[in-house]
Amino acid sequence: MNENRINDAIAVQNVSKHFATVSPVRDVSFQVTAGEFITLLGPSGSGKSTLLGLVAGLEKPSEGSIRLQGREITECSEDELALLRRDFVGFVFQAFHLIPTLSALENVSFPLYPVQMETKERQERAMALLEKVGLADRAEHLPSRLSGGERQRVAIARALVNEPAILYCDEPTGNLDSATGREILTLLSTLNQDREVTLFMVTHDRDIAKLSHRSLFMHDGEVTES
Amino acid sequence: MIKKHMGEELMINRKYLVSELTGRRRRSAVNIGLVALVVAVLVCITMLAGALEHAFQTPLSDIGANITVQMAGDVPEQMAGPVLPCSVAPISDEQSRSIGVIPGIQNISRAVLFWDFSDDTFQIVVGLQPTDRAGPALLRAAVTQGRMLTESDSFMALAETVWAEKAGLHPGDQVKIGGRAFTIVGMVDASKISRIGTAHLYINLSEARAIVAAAPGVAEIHSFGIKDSNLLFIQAERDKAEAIAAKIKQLLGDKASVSTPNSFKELLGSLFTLTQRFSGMISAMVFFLAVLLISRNSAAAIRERTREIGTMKAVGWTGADIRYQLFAENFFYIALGTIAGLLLGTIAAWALSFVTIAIPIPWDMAPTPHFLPGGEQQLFREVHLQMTPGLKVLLSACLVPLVLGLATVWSASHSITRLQTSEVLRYE
Repeated sequence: MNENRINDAIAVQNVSKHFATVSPVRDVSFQVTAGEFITLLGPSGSGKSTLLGLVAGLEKPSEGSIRLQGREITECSEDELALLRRDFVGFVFQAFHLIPTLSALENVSFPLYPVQMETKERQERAMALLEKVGLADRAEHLPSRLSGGERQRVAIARALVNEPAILYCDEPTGNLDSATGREILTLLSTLNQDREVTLFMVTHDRDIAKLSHRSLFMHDGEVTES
Repeated sequence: MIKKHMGEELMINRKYLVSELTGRRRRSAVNIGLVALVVAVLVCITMLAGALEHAFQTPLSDIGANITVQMAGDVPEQMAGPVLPCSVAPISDEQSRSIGVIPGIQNISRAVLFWDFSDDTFQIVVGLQPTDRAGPALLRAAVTQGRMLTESDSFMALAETVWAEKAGLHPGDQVKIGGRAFTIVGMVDASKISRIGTAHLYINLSEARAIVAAAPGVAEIHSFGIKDSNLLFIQAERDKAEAIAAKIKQLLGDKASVSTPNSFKELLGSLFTLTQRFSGMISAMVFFLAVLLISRNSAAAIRERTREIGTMKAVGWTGADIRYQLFAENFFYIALGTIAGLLLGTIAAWALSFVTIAIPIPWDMAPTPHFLPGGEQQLFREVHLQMTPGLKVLLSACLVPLVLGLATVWSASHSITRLQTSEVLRYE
């Protein structure tokens, strides 16, 4: 059980994001309870990725309040947000974003590099996660020698290495074939159940939404709940 | 959850550092190669400039001086007996003493050079003070047979080896100078020492002064006192040499001919003046190119990794963590490039050290009558370029890329890490 979890993992209140000519997120409010598996659905260009960026602290809203693990992130500096992510947040990106020069094992331990920790401990933690995602035998391989599904598994292991309270996934199966995609979803779903990690997943696939506890729908920057 | 941040120190991850250096070979090779090229060119140009400066000093430093003083005078009316060439008119004892007290002058050596047309022969004779620290007295290091003159020698002479061989003279033989008999006590290879003020015969200064003072051919156009001389060899503080030369000219007037290392630069004419200017232009261009290439390349290397920097930020690296890591990587590129550049530059400098340049010695400084065979021939002092790496050379060559590269990396990474993480991740 994750000791950092509080009741509302994410609390979003009247959040809007304005760019010069468009407002991809408009007056959005919702809460995500700790341990929930939430999907954010919507067509392309509906503002899903922008909203994910906002609730994950990757960018700041133009208006409104976002609380992450009880902390108001709109008042945080870039470095404070980085430290908040280091402590509470994991990311799985559609494009994996692995470091091409590092092995699978090193990619998994990458978030721990700036942390004062024994190399052995870091590697043990990363190796345990690689075993969990079924890639222990590929630990020394560079990303270029891994398949798309394997790269996404490495990315998931990397997202878990800091034992996050919340895992944000942006179209995690978007670049994978359907069989591999199903495997990845099963893995994420199991993690949500076993580790009680709050899962916030952006997708445009309604089948994936069926696996979640709750779905949010986004259309023209506004969110409705199922 | 991971460790708390309070008290955490910035760390360079060695594994990541090494993987970036070795995993992106093309980028590493370009970065290191570029720095190496800049350093090598800077090393070569700086060493070449130093070698040329040294070369210009050589003709004078050969005779232990950095300033020579002569006076232009009238051409002798008749070439009979001892006469003074027009380029070495008398310098009075009073004038020599006035020069000797100019601040910055460390030592002054006097000599008398004259042509001797006595007894249907011609010989160039120089009177020297055997104990002097500069000037023809340095011939003591070029004695090939017999011995050097001493102050107590009376009517003794040194003979120049090539001339003596042609004249069939040997140590112990007698020669006539100004109608007086002198015994040859030694043979000297003057070409080993200097091309300035060289002669066929060398005698004690006091005897040369006496011969010249009593010579009718000299008295016709000059007033030569028994303590006068017509060649001064001055050791002065190097950085004051040009200022001292200007003061001497002021003291002696328009007819004074004062030579310094700069005079030889000017003598080398337009070719070397152009080369020097060109070398200055090359240095400026290399510096400009170094600024442009190193800063552009370093900034491009950071931009190329913008999305990777986004990943670092997304997984919890702070701006300082990222900058520290990138700074370390670039420090290694620059350090390796600098080492390679120093090696390349040293090899190129070594190759250039085989090059010799011929510095012309003006006729005035080694006068031979024009009507004699070879009298109009230009004398040269051939000098090997001494490509010596000094601390200044190494420091300037190393600091330029280091400062440029690291400043650019710092600035580029600072601006990227200040962007919002989502912007960096979206960067294409």
